[in-house]
Amino acid sequence: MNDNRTPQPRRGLKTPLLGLRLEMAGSFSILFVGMMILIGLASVFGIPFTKDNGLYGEERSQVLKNLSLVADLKKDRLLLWLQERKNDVTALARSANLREQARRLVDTAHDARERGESAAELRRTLSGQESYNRLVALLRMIRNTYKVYEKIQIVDSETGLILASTDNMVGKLFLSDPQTPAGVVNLARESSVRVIADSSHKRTHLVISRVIDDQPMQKDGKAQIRPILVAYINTDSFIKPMLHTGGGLGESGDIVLVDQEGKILVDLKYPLADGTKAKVREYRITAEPATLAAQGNEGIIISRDYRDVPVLSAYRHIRVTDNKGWGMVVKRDESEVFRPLRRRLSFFLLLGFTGVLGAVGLSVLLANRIALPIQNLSRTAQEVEAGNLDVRAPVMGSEEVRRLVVTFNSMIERIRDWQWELEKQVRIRTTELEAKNAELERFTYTVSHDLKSPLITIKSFAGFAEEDSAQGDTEALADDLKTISKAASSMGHLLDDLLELSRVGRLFDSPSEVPFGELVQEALELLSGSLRERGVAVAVDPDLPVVSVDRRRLVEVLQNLIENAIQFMGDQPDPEIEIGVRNGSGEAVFYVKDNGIGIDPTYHERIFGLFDKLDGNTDGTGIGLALVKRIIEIHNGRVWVESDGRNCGSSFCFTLNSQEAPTQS
Amino acid sequence: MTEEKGLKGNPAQILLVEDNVDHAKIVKRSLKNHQVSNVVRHVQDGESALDYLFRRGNYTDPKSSPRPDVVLLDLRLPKIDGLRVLKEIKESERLNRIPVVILTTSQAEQDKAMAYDYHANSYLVKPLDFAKFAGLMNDLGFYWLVWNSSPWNPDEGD
Repeated sequence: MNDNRTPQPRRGLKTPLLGLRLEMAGSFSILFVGMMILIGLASVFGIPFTKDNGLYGEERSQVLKNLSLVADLKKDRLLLWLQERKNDVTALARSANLREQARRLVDTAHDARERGESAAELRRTLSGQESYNRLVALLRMIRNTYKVYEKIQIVDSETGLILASTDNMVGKLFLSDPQTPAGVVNLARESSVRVIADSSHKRTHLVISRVIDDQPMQKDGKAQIRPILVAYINTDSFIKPMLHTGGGLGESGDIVLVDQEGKILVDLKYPLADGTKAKVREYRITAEPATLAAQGNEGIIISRDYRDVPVLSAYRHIRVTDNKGWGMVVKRDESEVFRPLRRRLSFFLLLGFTGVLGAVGLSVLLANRIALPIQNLSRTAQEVEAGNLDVRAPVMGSEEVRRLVVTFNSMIERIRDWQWELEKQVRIRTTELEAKNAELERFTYTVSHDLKSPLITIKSFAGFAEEDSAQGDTEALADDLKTISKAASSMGHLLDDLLELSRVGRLFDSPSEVPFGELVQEALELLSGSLRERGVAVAVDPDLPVVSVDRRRLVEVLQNLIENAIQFMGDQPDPEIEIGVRNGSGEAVFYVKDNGIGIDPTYHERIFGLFDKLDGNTDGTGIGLALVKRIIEIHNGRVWVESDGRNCGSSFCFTLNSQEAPTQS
Repeated sequence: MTEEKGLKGNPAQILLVEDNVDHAKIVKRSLKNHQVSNVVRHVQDGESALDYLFRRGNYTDPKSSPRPDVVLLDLRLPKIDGLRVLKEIKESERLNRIPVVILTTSQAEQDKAMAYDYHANSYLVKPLDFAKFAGLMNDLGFYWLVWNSSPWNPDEGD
C-alpha cells in the first residue's frame, strides 16, 4: 500500500504539519522581509524618479550646506581679521612719528654701513641714539598694547638688515625663508602677508610687512633706503584658534589652510596616510579640495582628503593680497557624517530581523492553530477511507473549522449508520436467500424423489405383469395392472398439487375484507360430502371477525385443515371438529380443532414440510399442510399445531396479518 | 457361516424399511425368486424400524423380530427419517455390525454424504428400469447374504 495513504500514528504527523506551517510561515516572512527592505531602501536612498532623495541624500546635502556655511563664516572672519591686521600695520607705518624715527634710523644705518661697521657695532651705535631708543620703546608699546604681534621690526629693504626690533635681532638679516639663508627677501614695495616657518618648523608666523615711507630717500644721490615695518603674529596662537571648528562639525570636522601652491600654512589635524606629521610650509597637499581652493575656486565636493580618506568638504579661496590667495578647505569625514545613518540602518535591519523572527513565530503559531485541526481531520478522513468508521475528529480550532469538523463527524456517523443498516439488510436478505435456496434444493430433491417413486412402481409392475402374463397368472396380472394404475394416478395428484403449490406464490388476489365466518361456511360446503360420510359434527364459533385476506386462498387453507382433520379422525366414534377464534397475546388466533388421533409433539414441525407424511398408508400427497403454511405466510401469519399426542386430538392454529414480521423458518 | 446359513435352508433375515407399499412389493417379489432362501420383514416407517430393531412397542417378542442379517433402508420415511434410523443403528453397540444398505430414489449428493458419514455399508439408487431393478436385487441378495462375511454377533445364540 502507498505510505502516504496509510493512516499515520501521532508521531508521523509532524512532516505534513511542518509542511503547511513552513509554507505559511515562509510566505509571511518573505512578504514581511520584502516590505521591510523596500521601506528601508526607500527611506535611506530615496524613491526613484521622485524628488525624495532619502535620508542618505538629505543628510549629505545638509552636511555640505553646514560645511559651506562654516567655510563662509571662517573665510569672512579670516579676511576681516587679516584686514584688521593689515590696517594695524598700515596705520603704524603711516604715522609721522614712526616715519620720522625710521628715516633717522635708516640714515644712521646707512652711515654705519658706509663706515663698514659690523652688526654689533651698528647695534652699539644705534643704542647710543635717543631716537632709536624711543622707536624701540614705541614698537614695544604697540606690541604690548595689541598683544597680537609677537614682535615688530623695522627692516632695511635694500640690505635686509633689521634696523629696529622689539627683540634683540637688530643687525641681523631678515630672512623670508630660513631654509635658504642667502635669499634675503625682496620685501615688497607694497604691503605683503606671508607665513614664515622657523628653521626647525616648530614655530610658524604670519608676517605682515609694510613700507614705511613711500618716498624713496636719496642720500648723496646714492642708494635708496626704504625702511619696512614687519609684524610677526604667532599662527599657533591666532590663526589656529580661528580655524577651530568646535563641536559644530563633529569629531572629524577640520579646516585646512594652504597657500596658493598648496603648501600647508597651519598644522594638520591628522597625520598623513603614512603616519608622519606634515611640516608647515613644506608639505604640499595634492588632494582635490585643497588644490581647487588654492587655484582660486570655491564650492563643495565629495572626494578624498590628504589622508586618502573619503570626506565631504567645502573649499574657499581667501584673497590675502591683490596677487596672492590661500585655499581653505572645511571638511568632515564621510564615515562620521553617515555614522548615525548607518547606525540607524543597522538598527533598522536588526528591528527587521527581529520582526521576521516574530512573524515566523506568529505564523507558525497561527499555522498550528489552523493546521492542527485540519491535520486531525485529514487523519480521521484517512482512517475512514481505510474503513474505520468508529473514529471521530477532535473538535478544535476556529469556529469555521469546528463547524467543518462537527459536520464531518456527523457525516461519518451517518455513513456508519447507513453501513450498519445496509449490512443488516444484506444479512437479512442473505439469510432469506439461503433459506429460499435450501428450500428450493429440498424441494427439487423431494420432487425428483417423489416423482420417481411412482415411475419405479409402474416400470417394475409392468415387468411383473409381463412375467405373470407369461405364466398365465391372470389374477396376479390384474393386481399388477391395478398397482400401475394407482401409481399413475398418484403421480397425477402429485403433479396437480405441485402446480397448485407453485401457484400460491404467484397467483394472489389483492386482499379484501371478508367475514371469517363466510370463509368457513364456504369450506364446509366444499367438504360436505366427506363430512357427512364420516359423520363429523362441526361447531363454528358464531362470533368470528372480519379479516382482510385473499378469499380464495383462505378457503383453501380451511378446506385443507378440515380435510386433514377428517382424514386423521382414526377410530373416533364421535368425530367432532370445532372452528373458532381465540385471543392469544394480543392477536387473533384462528383454529381448527378435532378429536382425532392427534400428533406426537416430535412431529409438530415436520408435518408442515413438503411431502412429509406421518403415515405412509394415507392417500395424501404430503403437500396439503405445506400449502397451508405457504398461504398463511403470504398473509404475514404463522401456523402451528397443538396436540398432546396420540389420541388426544389436535388443533391447527394460525394467525393473520401479524404486526411482527413473519419468522423465517 | 452366512453362506452356510443361507444355503442350508436356515433362511436369511432381511429387514426392509420402505414407506411405499408398491416398492416393498417389488423388493419382496424380486427376492422371493432368489436362490438364497430369505425372509423379508417389512416395516413402513422409521419409528417401526427402530421399534423392531430395539425390540420395543409391537416388536418385544424376539421370535417375531429376529435380528436381521441385512437392513434395506429407504431414506424418506414417515415419522422418523431414514438417516436418523441409520444413525441410531450405527450408534448402538448391539446393532452397529448389521450391514445397512441404503435403497432409495434419492441421488442427492447431500443424502449420499450423510449416509456414509453415518457409516452406511452401501448406498444403492433404485433403478427406473425393471430388468435393472430385478438384477440389482439379485446381486444385492447374493452379495450381502452369500459373499459378504459378517462377524459373529451376540444374537446368534438365540
